[in-house]
Amino acid sequence: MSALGLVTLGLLTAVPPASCQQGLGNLQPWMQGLIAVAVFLVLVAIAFAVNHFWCQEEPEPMNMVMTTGNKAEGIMIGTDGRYSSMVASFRSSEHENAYENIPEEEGRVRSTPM
Amino acid sequence: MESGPSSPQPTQLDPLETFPQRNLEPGDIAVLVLYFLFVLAVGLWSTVKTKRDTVKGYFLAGGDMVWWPVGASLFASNVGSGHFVGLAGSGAATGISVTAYEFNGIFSVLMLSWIFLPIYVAGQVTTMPEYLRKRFGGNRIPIILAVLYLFIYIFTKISVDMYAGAIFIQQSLHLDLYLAIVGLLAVTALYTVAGGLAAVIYTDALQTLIMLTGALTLMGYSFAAVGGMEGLKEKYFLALASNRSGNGSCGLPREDAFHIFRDPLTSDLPWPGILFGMSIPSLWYWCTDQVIVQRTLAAKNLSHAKGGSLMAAYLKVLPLFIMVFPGMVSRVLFPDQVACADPEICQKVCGNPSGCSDIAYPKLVLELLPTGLRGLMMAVMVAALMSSLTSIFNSASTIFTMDLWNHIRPRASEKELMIVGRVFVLLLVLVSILWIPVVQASQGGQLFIYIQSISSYLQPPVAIVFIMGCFWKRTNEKGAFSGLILGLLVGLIRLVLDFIYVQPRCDQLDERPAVVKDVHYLYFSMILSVITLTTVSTVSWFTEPPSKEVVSRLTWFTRHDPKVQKEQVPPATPLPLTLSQNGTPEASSTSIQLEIVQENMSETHSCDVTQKPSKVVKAILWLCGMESKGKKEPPSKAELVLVSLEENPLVKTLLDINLIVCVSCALFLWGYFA
Repeated sequence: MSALGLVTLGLLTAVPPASCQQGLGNLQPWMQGLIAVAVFLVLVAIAFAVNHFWCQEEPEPMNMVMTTGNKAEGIMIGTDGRYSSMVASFRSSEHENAYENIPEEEGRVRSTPM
Repeated sequence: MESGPSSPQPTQLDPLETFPQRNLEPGDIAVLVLYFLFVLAVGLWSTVKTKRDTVKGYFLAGGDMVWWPVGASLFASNVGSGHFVGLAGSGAATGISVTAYEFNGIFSVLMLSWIFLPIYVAGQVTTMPEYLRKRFGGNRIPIILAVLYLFIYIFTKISVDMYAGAIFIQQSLHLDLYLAIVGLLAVTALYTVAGGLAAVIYTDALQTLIMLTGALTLMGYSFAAVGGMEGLKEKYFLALASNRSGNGSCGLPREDAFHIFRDPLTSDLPWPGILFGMSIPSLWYWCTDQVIVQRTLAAKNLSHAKGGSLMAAYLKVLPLFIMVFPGMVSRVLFPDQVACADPEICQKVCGNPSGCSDIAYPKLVLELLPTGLRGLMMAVMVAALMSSLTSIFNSASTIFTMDLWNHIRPRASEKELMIVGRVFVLLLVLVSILWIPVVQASQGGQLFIYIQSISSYLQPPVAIVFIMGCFWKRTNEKGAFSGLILGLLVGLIRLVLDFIYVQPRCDQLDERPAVVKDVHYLYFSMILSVITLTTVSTVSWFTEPPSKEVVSRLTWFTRHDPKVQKEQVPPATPLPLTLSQNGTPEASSTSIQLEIVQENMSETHSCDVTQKPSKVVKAILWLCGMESKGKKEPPSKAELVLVSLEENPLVKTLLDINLIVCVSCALFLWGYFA
């Protein structure tokens, strides 16, 4: 948790409830609300950044592994569009569980004809 | 609330003190009649519009609902007359901390659509016990759960709403309770029995509109009467009954009345309990309870369900303003009655010596509003009562038909299921009427408290089992079953203890054992959750893991697994047999859905050929949604349940942004009123 969140929690626990409408400690009620929202948005931003970088980081190894993958249903929530369309494009027309052997891009893998 | 067994009318109230003998004026009656006509019209229109002779049509509204009826129905099914009476009463007695229940609901309803619903959709379930049957296999967990849900519905939801509705109808309207309730139920049963979920959802949308209009009007009047928010904050602390006896703290307004977060040890709602102990039962209510989940399952697709959830979440902000604050205003305006502290006076005022805060809302309605608006508020209360009751009826009927009846008679045709479903709704109507004498004979306020405790002691184990099932692939049937049984047992023990050691009145000495006295029920809910969690984890860890088929598409992480092919369904039937004890239900339920089509067509066809049915039979058949013409084309097998998890990406992004906004608003309110 961010330091700001810890400070807020500390305030909440340490200060006894006040009967005058000053809110907790010396904070106005609307300040308390804003702090809560700010903490939340910071957390969301962090989560979004982590998601973006962590999921973006492994497209290449994922590609190779998932050519015979089992994710067949259209658009997948939360994943990169490029990823799913690659898998979908591997489907074979011969059988619904089969996948084509599409040759890799030039320069990545050397395929020696058998 | 309380009435002597021989007197037909409640006469123990001193009419001069509490509710003056005000008869319903013609303006009020006109508004009420208009309301009933409107509701009936909407109910019958939706009955005619939808196809209700299939399981999907009757119990899931054809899977065709757009977001706004779903959202409105979520709100209306949740907010019943119990909310109006209970929230206002708690606001009058203890301040705004009870709003924590409502604000917690905001997060839970959003979690339903974003986290739990995709799992339910991927697993293609209609009822919650069915999800557990698919996820864990076997019969004992779903049967226990189905029975438990029916028990909870009858003994908590229906009784709470009947109790609150009775206060209103009997005390403020001075109508004969039986007549009023039977009349109301007859009107609503008409479209509920005939139309199923579709009728309930559309009428719920109408009831929401009426509820909000009336309640917001009353809020306006009450704030005007007390001088706005500032006036309320000042005057609330001066709202003491003038006939207060003694010098204790009983009957005094709480110092932390305008705070949600309160002292962890000495207050009525400690803040750790609010954060952790309230969220598990709240999760149970919004994410695993049949009444609520069924509405989102009836949505057209996942985006519409999310939109409905968002709407319900925004609406959940309102109860603080339309129920809790008016309750506090009522205390300010009528302190001698609402805030009565002396047991004898309270007994005279409302028949309950522990306190009369429950009359807060009805008193406001009667005293503050002019004619016409009073009729509107009565319509509001009736709307709240009816919307919740019809939703409970329909969902209880769904559980009974799809889980219990299907288990007893696995080869039942769809026609039989339809009839059973409708008959069960009628049965529940009877049960509701039978609750009236219980409500009248009880001590009123105590009944409310006991009902709350039933909920908090029995819901956490179920919620934990669902959460573990959804988020940990390793959870297996043995773990879930032992966790469930242990949790329910511990909850039952505490429940019995609560009944034996009754909570004393404010001025009496508290001599209950420490286990009951010092452990607040919210803390107990946390303890219970932890117990269930550890039991489920340990037993699952030490027994064999669940098979791949059981976990596929039924947890958060496996919800995108490809569907099991239809051709594989017959060979798959031996597999459940090895997993479960008497494993027919899973295979037979899928075979029901696949085979009823042919059976239904042949049945209705043969009926057609034999004889011309009489007019009465035809009317009953129409009511039951079975046209004797029969269906010419079988419904496509794919349209059983909402199947696709796909969403339009633009709409999805918009919904996610809206989610962030909604959660931010909720957090702002939490922070503001903390």
